[in-house]
Parts: sequence; C-alpha cells; structure tokens
Amino acid sequence: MHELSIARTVVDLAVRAATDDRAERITRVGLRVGMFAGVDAGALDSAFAVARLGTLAETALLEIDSVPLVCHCAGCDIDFEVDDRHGIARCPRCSTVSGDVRHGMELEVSFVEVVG
Amino acid sequence: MMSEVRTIGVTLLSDRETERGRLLEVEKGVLARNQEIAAENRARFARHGLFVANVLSSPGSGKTTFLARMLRERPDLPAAVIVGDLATDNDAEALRSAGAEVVQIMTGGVCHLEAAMVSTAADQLVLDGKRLLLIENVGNLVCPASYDLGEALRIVLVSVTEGEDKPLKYPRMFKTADVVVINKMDIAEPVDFDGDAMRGNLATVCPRATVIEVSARTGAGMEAFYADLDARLAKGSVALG
Repeated sequence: MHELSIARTVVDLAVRAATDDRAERITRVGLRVGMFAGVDAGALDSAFAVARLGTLAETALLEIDSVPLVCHCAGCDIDFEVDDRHGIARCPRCSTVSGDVRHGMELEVSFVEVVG
Repeated sequence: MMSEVRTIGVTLLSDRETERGRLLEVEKGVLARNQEIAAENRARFARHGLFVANVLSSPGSGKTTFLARMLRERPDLPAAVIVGDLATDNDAEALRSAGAEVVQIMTGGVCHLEAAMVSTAADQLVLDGKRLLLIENVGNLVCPASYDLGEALRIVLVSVTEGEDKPLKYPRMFKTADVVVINKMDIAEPVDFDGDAMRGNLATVCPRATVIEVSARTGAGMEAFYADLDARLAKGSVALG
C-alpha cells in the first residue's frame, strides 16, 4: 500500500537524471520490479500517473520489467528460476529447498528516456 | 543474472531508439535512500554496541506481549524500544511498564517504518549502556518487509490462530525472516493448530529461518528463544547486515 510514495521516488529519480542531462521532457521511465519486491505493478502504474503530474515526466510512460524470483542451490551450485506463487524455491535438479534468494527482490529505475 | 535482465531490456529499447528519445541508463534503487539511511543506522548502532531486532507480524499476533515478557525476563539485557503504531501509544505504555526506555513513532497512517523514522526516534533514546534495541514495527505483513531499518535480526511473529498457510500467503515477509516465532502455543489445541503443517510451510518458504514455538502469555518456550538470542549476541552479529 505504499505504491504512491514509491512512484514519487521513481519520478524524483527520473527527473534528477533528466535534469542532469539537460533534457526538456521525459518520455519513458523503465522500472525493474522483482516478483518479490512487495509492489503491485497495477497499483504502481496508477500511482505513477498521479506522481508524474507537474514534473518533466508529466507525459512519461512507465515500463515495468518484471524480474522473476531466482534462487541459488548450494549443492548443485546453480541458479534457478522459481515458478511458484508462494516462492517455494525447490531446486529443479535435486529438489532441495533453497533460502538463498539471488533475484526477485529488485525495485530499481533502469533507464529514463528523454527528449530535448 | 541481473545484467542479463538489463541487457534484454536495453536491447529491445535500443531498436526503437531512433524514433524515440535518448536513453539514460540510471540503475538507481528506488529504496536506495532508505538503504543508505539503514546503513548509517547500522553503523551508529554498532558504535553503541547495540544489537538491533526488527519485530514484525500481523496486527494481533502478540508482538507487544512477547517483547514485554522478554524485557521482564531478561533484565540483564538493558533495552530500548522503538514502537511503530498508526495511532495510540498503548503498546508503548505496556513496554514502558515492562522496564524499557520506549519511544513511540505514530506513523499516522503510514503502513510501515522506514530507516529515517528509526533514526529520528533513536535520537530521543539514550543508547549508551543499552544492549538491545527492539523495533516493534507496524502490524502488517506486507509493506514493512521491503524496508531495511538497520537491524541485525529480523523476527517475524505468527500466532496459531492465523492459519498454517500464513507463510504461503505472505512469502515475501517470511523469506526475509531470520527467526520465526510461533506464538500463542498455549491455545494451539483448542484452535486445532496443525504444527506440522505450519513448520512444513515455513521450511519450504523460509528454510533459513530458525523456528521457535512460544506462548508469550504463559512464558512457555521463551527459553529456546533466549538461547537463540544469546547465541546471536555471543557471535557479535551486531555489525552484520
């Protein structure tokens, strides 16, 4: 339920990058959101539509790149993608459950597209 | 793995770059500011020799009762407590009467504590001479999971009335737990609590977490929690993060 404050931070980071680049306007903002980032993409999109108003990102689109949950199996020494909505990370090779999360918790601005 | 994800995104975009604007690679964590402040908190708490625990659960799992019992039973561990609540200072009062120095953060509707709030709250506490800093987070199993406060230990409480599938419903929170405390074991039987199912779910969702069963009301099982806590204190995991 804190998507609006996250959206404001996203806009803030994007505007800072655009200002540093002396750009006139932001056309798109890329965001990498892990499956386990605890953020709802739909809610974030709605929040972004509000947070961008009155900034260089006023007409910018938000592009969300979902990052799957990836865990590491120590026994097999492999990273594997977790295809389970509860996040139960069973190694596809040896079936051991792993608690070693390598990806899927990300919440990062990856790029800002600007014009001008 | 991370660079793979990034490369895919950028490659797709760069195909269209001519018809669009120019691309600025940013690579900024949205919670980066919180993480910076959490790191500052961690360094500050380490300087004071404080072991910091972030205590999380749903509303009503028994965080306050659990902490109050620990404060009363472990006077050898002088403690300060930061309590986050949407409104009221009832929890803070209960903990104060258990012997701790308490500061309350009334979040006024914010669903989680952030590192900056903890930093400001800590300014109001006498940290010297304390061994523990306990942070009772806002009762919520969703949002607080994302915010590092600068703690060395994350304790997630779940009570027997909440259903054995709670770890499956809130895997994000349980995955971040170092210790899971199953509380209200004194009423496990009347509410048909299936301990095997709960432990099984915890073992699959958060295999790294230590699971301890207690009744904060009667005190049963608290010894096991103290033994685990003492082992962590002895390891000096104060500065870990």
